[in-house]
Amino acid sequence: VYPDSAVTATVHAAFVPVRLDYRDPKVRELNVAWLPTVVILDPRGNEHARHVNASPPEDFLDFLAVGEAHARIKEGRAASHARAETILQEALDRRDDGPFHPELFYWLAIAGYFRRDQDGEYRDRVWTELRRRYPDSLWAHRVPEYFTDAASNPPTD
Amino acid sequence: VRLKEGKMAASEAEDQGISWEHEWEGAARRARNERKLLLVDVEKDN
Repeated sequence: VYPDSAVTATVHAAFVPVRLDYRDPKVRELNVAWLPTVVILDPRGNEHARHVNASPPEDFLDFLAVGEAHARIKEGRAASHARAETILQEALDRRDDGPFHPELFYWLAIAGYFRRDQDGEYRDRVWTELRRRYPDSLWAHRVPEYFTDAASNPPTD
Repeated sequence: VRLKEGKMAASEAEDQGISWEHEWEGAARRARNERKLLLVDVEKDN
C-alpha cells in the first residue's frame, strides 16, 4: 500500500504518519484486536476511521478519504464542510466503483448537507443515489428512518 | 511478505516512501502544530 505514490502523497499532505508496535503502551488505548490495524485520529485523540489488514492502494485511498472527511465534518466550520465534500467527491470520481463507495456516498450526503446550510433535499438526493446503487450495502441500511426515499423525484442520470 | 497481487503488508513498505514517526508524543505534537490528522499504523515489530 504505502509505496504507492498516490497513497504517499495523500498521507504526507493531510496526516502525520506514526507506526507503533502493538506492545506500545499507547496502543492499549486504541483497542486494537488484529494486526495490522490503521487508525485515523485527530490531534485531540478522537478516532475517525479504522482499517484492519492490508488492502489495495485504491481502497486505502478511499479509507483515507473517509477518515479525513469525517474529521473535517466534525470540525463544524464552513470551510471544513466544503473540504470534506471535495475529498469525498474526488474519491468517488477516481473510479467507477469500489468497496468504499457506499460509505463515501453516505458521508458525501452529510458533508453536502452541512455545506449547503443544512439542505435536506441535497442530502436526500445523495442518499437516494446510494440506495439505488448499493441497496444491500451496510451504508444504505444506515440511512435513518426520517429519510423518505425520493421515489417521486428519482435521479435522472 | 506479499499477500497477493496488489496487496502488501505494511511492514514491507518501511522506508519506501512514507516517513514514519515511531514515538507517540512527538507525532501527536506534530499533528497539533501542523493541524494534521494522525495516521496510526499498529504492527508487530520484528
